[in-house]
Amino acid sequence: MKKIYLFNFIVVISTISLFANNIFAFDENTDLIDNSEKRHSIIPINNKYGWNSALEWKQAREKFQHELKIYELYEEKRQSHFANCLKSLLAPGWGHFSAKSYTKGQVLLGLQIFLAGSSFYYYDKSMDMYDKYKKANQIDVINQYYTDANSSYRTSQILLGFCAIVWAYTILDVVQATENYNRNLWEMLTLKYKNAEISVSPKGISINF
Amino acid sequence: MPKFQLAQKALVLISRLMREKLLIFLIIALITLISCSLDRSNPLDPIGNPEIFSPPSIDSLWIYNWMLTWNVGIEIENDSIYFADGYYVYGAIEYYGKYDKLSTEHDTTYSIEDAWYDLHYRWFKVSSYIVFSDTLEGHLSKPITK
Repeated sequence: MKKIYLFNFIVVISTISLFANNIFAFDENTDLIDNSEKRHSIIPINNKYGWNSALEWKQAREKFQHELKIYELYEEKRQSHFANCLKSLLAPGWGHFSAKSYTKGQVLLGLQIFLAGSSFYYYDKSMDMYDKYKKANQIDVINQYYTDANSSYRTSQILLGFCAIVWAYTILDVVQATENYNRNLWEMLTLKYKNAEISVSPKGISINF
Repeated sequence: MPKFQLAQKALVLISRLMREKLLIFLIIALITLISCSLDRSNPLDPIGNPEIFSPPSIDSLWIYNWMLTWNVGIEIENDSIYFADGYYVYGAIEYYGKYDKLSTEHDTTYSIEDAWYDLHYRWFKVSSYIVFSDTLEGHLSKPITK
């Protein structure tokens, strides 16, 4: 009987010691975690954004919020590439004028008016000759009118082709002009409101210098 | 990314690509345009209408005893010989002056005496014609004087 009691006592003690080992092991783990955290804290603070103190972080945050407000202002005033392309598609040069690229707009518009006008002039001349060709009944006259009509027609087609190319260039170039406008707008806004206070509300944007 | 911004970026990219390829596009467009020409729609134009052929040309022309006389070439088309249906005689006061139609002849001679004295024409030209759906006049001869 004493043996049984002794056996039970040994079992109970060994079980407790086993649990006690587990508990100890858990404590060790937590200790490890704590130590690793401590080790991290030994490494210098993440200085990716150049903040060395809370004040610097606060200043950076304020700067970011200020730029965000400028961005909102920029978003309101910036021009759409698509809208300017559409303007240039409807009336060549309009997109450039909208993007404040006046010289380029004037040159392209002038060039297109000149090319379209010249093309129409030669087309009209060619049709005039062509009508005479259709009515002609003398072989030399037939050949002469056809040559003249065809020559004018080709000139008109070449001018029209150049006009179409300039038109296409205008539409493509207006994208770049809008890009430049938006870039200049951003630079201008950042320079203008560098030290100004901007507040954005549902009523609109107010700026305090 | 919103669809609008995506479309905008695509537009910028396309514009850059297109500007680079503009020269090639320009050359292709010009070649295409130059190759275009008007139809030869005149029903009397021998080039545009295979059923029509040029009237025979005046090979030689001379004046003897107030008679303007000419020889005519023979027009051979599709192994068939065609002759002119008639001839037009023109006269002018000067070599480079305006030539007026004086007469329509079915023979190869014309008396210039009346034109010479009454109308003061000194230079003469002749052409042949063939009647198709309408009258087609051939090449004019070189001017001749007495």
